Amino acid sequence: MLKIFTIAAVLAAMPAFATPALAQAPLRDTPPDSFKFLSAQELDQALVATERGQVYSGHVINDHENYWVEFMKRLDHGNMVEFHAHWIDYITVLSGEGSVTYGGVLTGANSRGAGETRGGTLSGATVQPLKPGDYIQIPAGVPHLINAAPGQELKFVLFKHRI
Amino acid sequence: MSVRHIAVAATLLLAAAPAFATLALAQAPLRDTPAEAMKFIPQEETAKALMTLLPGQTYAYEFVSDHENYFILFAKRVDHGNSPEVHEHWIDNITIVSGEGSLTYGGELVGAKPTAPGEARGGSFTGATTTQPIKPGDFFLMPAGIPHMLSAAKGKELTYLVFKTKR
Repeated sequence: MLKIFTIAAVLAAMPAFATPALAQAPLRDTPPDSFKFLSAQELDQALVATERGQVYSGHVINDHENYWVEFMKRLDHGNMVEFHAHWIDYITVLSGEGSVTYGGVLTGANSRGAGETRGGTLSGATVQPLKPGDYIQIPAGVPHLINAAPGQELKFVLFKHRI
Repeated sequence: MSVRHIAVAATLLLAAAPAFATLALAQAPLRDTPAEAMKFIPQEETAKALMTLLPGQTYAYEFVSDHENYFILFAKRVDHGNSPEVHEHWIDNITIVSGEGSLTYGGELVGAKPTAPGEARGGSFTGATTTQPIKPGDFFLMPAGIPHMLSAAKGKELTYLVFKTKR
């Protein structure tokens, strides 16, 4: 009888040892970034090439489990409504003028998996004009569309953080 | 069941208790700051907030988002009174918004004073340092542990955006 208790005891106590090991697993296992300097010209250059099949561009500075930093360029056409279920967008405009249209009801969007959709149309959304130095944060779950003003290029830096 | 058996069982329960306590800890929210709402801050508002330097300091800053593991702020430096700083736990992802200035980094700090856990300010650089001129649109990533100093150029002000992330 005592033997059975002993076995049960050992089994019961096992998670106590296993769990702290799990709790100490690295949270973000991407390697640390080293020092980096990118001049405005280098960043402009990096934004010349567009994303495949698109007219907009993005240049990712670093990529981590919970966040990344990206410089982006949008034109006055070819932009899509975006929806991120798990990511917050923190945006600061660097040059050009444009607008962010956000909120309302999104219909006809295409799922890209992992809580992301692109395309579709927004109805009942709010339009916020944007100019250099403006800051906007878009919570996860709020559909939004970023456009440059007619004939302009809109450049901004995006800090993306997972909720 | 004898008294001895009950005692053994009790000991076992006590031994297993940390397993449950630890699980509970592991499931505690990682960032327990409340979710943020939609926020728009026009350039004028940030510029106005940065007009007044901090009491007794030659810089100003304005937080726009504050979390356990990251925060975002706009900051301003003038052409004097700047001192080196080093963060043991935080990475600076910085984009220059306006003005002109320079970034000095590298080497080690001598005579810096601790200002918070893992934070030191002041003193002077020693060893191999680099000075990089900076202007609007430039970006740099300063890893944790590297001493650095931002200064505006003579007669100028330097405004920049900081994404701070925990190492």
